[in-house]
Amino acid sequence: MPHGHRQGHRMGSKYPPSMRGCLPLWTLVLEVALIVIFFFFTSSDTSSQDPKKLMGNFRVLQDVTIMVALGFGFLNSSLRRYGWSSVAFNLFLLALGVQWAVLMDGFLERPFRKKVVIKLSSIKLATMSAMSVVISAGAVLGKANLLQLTLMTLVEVTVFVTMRMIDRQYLSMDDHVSMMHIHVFATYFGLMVAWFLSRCLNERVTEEKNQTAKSSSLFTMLGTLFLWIFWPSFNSALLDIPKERKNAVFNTYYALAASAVTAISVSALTHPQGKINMTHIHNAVLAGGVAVGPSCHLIASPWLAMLLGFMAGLISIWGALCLPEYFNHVLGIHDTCGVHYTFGFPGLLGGIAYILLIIYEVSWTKQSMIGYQLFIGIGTLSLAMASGLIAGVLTGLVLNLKICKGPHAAKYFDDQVFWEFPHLAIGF
Amino acid sequence: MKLLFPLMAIVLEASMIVLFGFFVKYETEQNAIQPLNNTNTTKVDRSLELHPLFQDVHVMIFVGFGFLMTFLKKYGFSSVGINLLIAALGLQWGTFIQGIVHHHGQTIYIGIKNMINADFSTATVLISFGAVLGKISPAQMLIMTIIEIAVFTGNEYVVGEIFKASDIGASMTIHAFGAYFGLAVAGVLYRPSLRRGHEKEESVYHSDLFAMIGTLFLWMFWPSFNSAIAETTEQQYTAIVNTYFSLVACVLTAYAFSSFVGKRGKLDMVHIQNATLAGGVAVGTCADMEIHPYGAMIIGGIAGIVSVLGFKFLTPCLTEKLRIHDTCGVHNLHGLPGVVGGLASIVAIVLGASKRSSMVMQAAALGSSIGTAIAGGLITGLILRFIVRVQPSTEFFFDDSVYWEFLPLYSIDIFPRLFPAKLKRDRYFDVFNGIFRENRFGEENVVRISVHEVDKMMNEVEITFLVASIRKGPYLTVTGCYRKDGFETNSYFPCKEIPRFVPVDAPLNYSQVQDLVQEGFHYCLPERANWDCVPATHSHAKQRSQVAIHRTFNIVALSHVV
Repeated sequence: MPHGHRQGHRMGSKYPPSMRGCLPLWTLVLEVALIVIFFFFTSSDTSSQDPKKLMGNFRVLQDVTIMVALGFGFLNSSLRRYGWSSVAFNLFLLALGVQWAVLMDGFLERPFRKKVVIKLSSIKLATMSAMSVVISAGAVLGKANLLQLTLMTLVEVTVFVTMRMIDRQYLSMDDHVSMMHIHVFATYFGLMVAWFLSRCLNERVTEEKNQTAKSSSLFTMLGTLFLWIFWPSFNSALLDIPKERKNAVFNTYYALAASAVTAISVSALTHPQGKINMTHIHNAVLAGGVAVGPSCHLIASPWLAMLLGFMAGLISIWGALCLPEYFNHVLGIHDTCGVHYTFGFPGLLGGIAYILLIIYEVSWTKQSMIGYQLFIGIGTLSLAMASGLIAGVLTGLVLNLKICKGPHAAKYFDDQVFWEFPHLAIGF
Repeated sequence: MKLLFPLMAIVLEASMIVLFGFFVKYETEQNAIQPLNNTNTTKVDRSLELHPLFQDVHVMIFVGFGFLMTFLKKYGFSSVGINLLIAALGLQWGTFIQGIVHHHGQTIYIGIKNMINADFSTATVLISFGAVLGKISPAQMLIMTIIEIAVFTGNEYVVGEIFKASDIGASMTIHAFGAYFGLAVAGVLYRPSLRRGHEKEESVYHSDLFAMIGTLFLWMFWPSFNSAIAETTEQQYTAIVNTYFSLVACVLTAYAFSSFVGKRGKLDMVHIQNATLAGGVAVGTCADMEIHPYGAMIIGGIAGIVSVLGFKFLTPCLTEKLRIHDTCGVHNLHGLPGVVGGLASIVAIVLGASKRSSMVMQAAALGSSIGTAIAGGLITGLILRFIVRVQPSTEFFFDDSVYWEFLPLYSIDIFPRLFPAKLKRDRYFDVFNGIFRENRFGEENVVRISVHEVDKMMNEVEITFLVASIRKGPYLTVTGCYRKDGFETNSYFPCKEIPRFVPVDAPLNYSQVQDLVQEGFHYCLPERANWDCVPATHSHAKQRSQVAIHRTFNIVALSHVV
């Protein structure tokens, strides 16, 4: 074995419960169940493939996978004693979320057809749905074990796919826009779950462990950069018309650039000595891509996208400065990775920007449609938020049950609860 | 010996250039053979379509394999660096020799597909490199690259052209072959001191995180690897989807079993880094067959389980009983899943998932791959052991400092919290005046001090600087020495008089140590008995005097022994 020795650890009073009984069992049962469902209810796509289209879909799928596996994995690795869990749990959640989302998407898209046909585009869609889980995982990072996260994945993917189905069938939203509400949905879902899990969090643990180290800050930067590079692919992934797709790529690109510049300069501006805060950079540079998401195919000129990116950067930095105080002390929600100001606020900004843009476009053609469009726009946005909040509360309640064997609050933010440490040799 | 490696590399590169000059030309419209199934696009167009897939494979080879091997705490430079070197040599040699074998000695016209195949041939060497990682010198790696790719190409020719076996993702010809070749070489190069575990063969927190970068890159691009050389678009689609589902299923079972075999259900980073990829290896052979996503998931799930169990039970057994020391555990990531892949293809053909190959031929391909790999590996190992004898000595195994020039860095491991109740080896604990002002506990696990910093500290506090390291036995031996009268450098710093510190009986807890640091350095002097630094052995008086000497060094070493 490459890593040498395996050592026993001393028992302590807050010893975390053993996961041996439940985690392997439930994971295997789940995987076997998934294989059985796949056996009965899926079929491969047997129609002939257009090579260009296949490769196109495959490229986008790759880009989205890179974002979720590498980007989010390392974006969340900022805690100094939680790097392993951040990266490895993220991969696990992706693998589970994709399988589940492929099935849910297939079942809810055509409820009466017997078999789900698996295409590359359905895997792409599933990966994007699984992204909601890894966003939420950022908020609950360090406070839940793998079993709790597994449960969270199943619930969250189901609710998210259902929400998108409602959007599509009853509110006649297109796929792209309802997907772009993922940020709002996932943020509020994650925050609610985190609220339930952070109730017994005490100050000392948080202060001691919830800080970033220099080197893991660099790892986080690796994740940030990969997300930043591939965000245009994410925003244009579900658009089919070439012109819209092109628009989406350009707008996202410029919005990201604007928010990166804003984030860095404003971060320096708010510091008494003009220093840049690395944590702000990790989160705020991505805000532009989030904010421009819903409307990226509609914006006709780059300046508007850049304005959105600028505002998103500002909001994100403002959130990073004010929110942690407020959330930790007043509401008691502990948002580990700052999901609320990275994805939540910019997502809301993007939703509002989309509504305004739609109304502006409609007002040129049909005056009577304004009310309807306003209703639809606000409806979908609040649906995303409400379903996130409600599902989050329910999930939080379930995760707090004893059966999940959640770690003790004193062991939050600590890899040692979940990993065998041959070399660090930190006793309990 | 100093000149051997550069000369060898230059001669090899020169001969590559000469060989390319005589045999290799670009693919153009005229000399390309029109494929039958593609009438409207020319082969050159098709070639360019493959370019993204080629890039994915390239990323896997250089970033994926390179970083996957960086888990060793003192061997990161070599893992990534030698990986780059042998991949660069291997793909030139691979292009040439594959072209010669497949074109029967005529001029080779290279397109993107040849480049993908050359990258594949490199992958075998990198897999074998994983088995001998840290125990072999770059010059030996060059020799091994040349021999292994030649043997690989021969085996691939036999499997593909004579047996006409189907192996699109090359589970057998690349993964199983590379793994068993590497194991055979590692077996011949075995040293008895590896049996109990080498002291440098360990990872630290961040080296494992670096290895995760490699894992993720391999995981993300594996569908490209398995589908890159597919003939038709349908096969390509099938290969992508199958590989994807095999990988995701493999992740779940690997986590489950890692938790199952771990103490109190804990996960093991080694398993996560490697076993999550086993699904991609195992599904390789039947990736383009009609096995449906559920079939791929079954294969991936089994591969994940086999791989974790291999790491847990088989690797220690290989090292102790068979005397084969497999540094990265390639047998569990590539060897066993490769065999699983070959068997899975036999089952799939029996069940009628493909008509391109027969059961017997698949079995023959699997046998031929493993057989040639072991034979080739043994011969290579013997050549490396008795002819090209530039292997580093055992104490320089797993050590970058033999091959890389860097500012002499003293690494001092600092344990952020407790000393555990039972540690097999001595650990030491250096509290250093200057270091801790900047570097509070827990910021880093390893504090590295450059020579300049040491100089600065020496001027400030007038100390002689000692670097302590782990040694066997009850003593903590100071192995590095920095003196006013001159700097003795060598990676192992032989000191004329080796001072010894006596280990500490009881561990300090985190807050005690933190208090200790915050209250100032002089409190840490070993005489202060209340800090658990009491000399504890029979030669009490002698130790006292030693300690007294070292007081002037302003250094304290605390250690704990079983």
